[in-house]
Amino acid sequence: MLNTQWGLMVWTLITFTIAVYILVRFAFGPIQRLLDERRQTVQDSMDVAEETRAEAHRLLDEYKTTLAKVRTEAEEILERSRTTGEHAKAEIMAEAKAQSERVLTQAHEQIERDMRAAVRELKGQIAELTALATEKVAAGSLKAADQQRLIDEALAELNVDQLGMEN
Amino acid sequence: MKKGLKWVWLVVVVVALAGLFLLPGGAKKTLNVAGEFELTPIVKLPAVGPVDLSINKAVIYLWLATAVIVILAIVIARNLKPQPGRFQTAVEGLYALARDGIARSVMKSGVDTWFPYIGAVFFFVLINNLIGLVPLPFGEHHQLSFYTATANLYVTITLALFTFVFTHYAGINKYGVRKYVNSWMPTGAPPVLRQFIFVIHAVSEIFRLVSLSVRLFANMVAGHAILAVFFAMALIFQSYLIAAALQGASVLIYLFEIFVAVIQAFIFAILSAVYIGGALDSGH
Amino acid sequence: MNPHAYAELGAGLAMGLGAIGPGIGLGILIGKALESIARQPEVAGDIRTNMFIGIGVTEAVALYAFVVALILVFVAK
Repeated sequence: MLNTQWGLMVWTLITFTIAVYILVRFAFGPIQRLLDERRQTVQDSMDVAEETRAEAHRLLDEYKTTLAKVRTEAEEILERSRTTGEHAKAEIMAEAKAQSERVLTQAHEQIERDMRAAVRELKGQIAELTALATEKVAAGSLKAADQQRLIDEALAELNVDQLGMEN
Repeated sequence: MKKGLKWVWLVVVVVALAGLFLLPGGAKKTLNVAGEFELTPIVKLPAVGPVDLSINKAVIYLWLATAVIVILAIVIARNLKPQPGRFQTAVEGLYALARDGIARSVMKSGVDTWFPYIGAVFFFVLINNLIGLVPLPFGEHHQLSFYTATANLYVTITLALFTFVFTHYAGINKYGVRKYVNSWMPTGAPPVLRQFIFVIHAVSEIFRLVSLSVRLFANMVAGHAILAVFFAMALIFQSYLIAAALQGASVLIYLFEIFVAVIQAFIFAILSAVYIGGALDSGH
Repeated sequence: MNPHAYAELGAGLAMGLGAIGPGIGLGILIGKALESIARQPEVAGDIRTNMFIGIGVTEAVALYAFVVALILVFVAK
């Protein structure tokens, strides 16, 4: 049982060499390649996922920036329109005020004018009436020149303005 | 009863039946444990000097193991798919065990270079050990019996020689002869001490070779001898009753031998990896 | 007793005595390994690998005894 068996050693060498060759050629190599390929595939898909994620992040950031910009712009526009509106309002109000003042002024002027005319007419009538009355009272005692002077004095005493206002 | 344990009962029944009716002694009806390990040429071939290439039981078992490896390897290579099925997952698991569990776990460098050898030695020893637990008709009188090529010292010593040669080849290849041999001795010690340690280291290297081969050989011989003794209980006690009662024990031994077969292949491969890895890391 | 009987007696003694040391050693070894695994389950894989290496080395001692027994029985007749 324990004496040297060279033949068996040679057989072991042969069979083991065959086994190593076959295992490396048909089992280890292909399996290792397969595992490497699978790891590569997983790595690749992970890389792609990472890329997609980064892209999504980038897009999100971009959208966020755009959205922020748009919002600022909208606010700006709103602000601008509000200012414009206020301007317009102020303008319109100012114009309306001016116009109303103008109308008022015109009305005042018209009233003044009318009043003057009325006063002038009144003066004329008073003078005539006075003259008439005086003529009736002092017919012939007065000369034409004295008559005129008396009329003027009486008119000066009469406060026409006050009369107009009281009307 | 869990579904996964069904095969255990199958093994139990097969082994018990084989033990009762087939194995002990055959026609001779006597117990000869040592005879189980004797090698008689089946096909006689002319010897070349001391090398007698006659085909005997051990050679047949070696060829059987190699045939199983070749068939398995080619079947596996043909059926590799990127999406693994159940069988391929098991194969990949075994491959990962050999690569990461054995080579990568004990070698710091050179895994890619030396894994093919370590993986191959693992599977070669494993298949040889496991074939030893299949009853095959190579008994003394062509009855079914257990034998394995690794229960022969010269088979295991050849395998250990591979590891021995590769260990020193790896060291010399990496560091050159001078530096590699110098790494066996402590630097800065007096010359006498250096030489003494060199001798001790050389002896330990030889003992690694011996222990590697004897461990596997003795485990296999002891296991098969115990199995043969237990299966031969009927002959020892001359009573089928006692024999039948002891079949339970022999089944337990058989299951333990399956464990030993796997563990010994694992230890052979991992020690090979440790030795080769040690030589690769010896230069610093 | 004939000389062969001494050889067989020696073989039995060699195996039995030679199994004591490795038996104790394996018990300590595996016990310590299990302790370490219980303490640090996260490195269980490494510990188990090294435990098997240790088992292989320790067990070899018993197997030398076994081989010596074999030599005594079958060779030193």
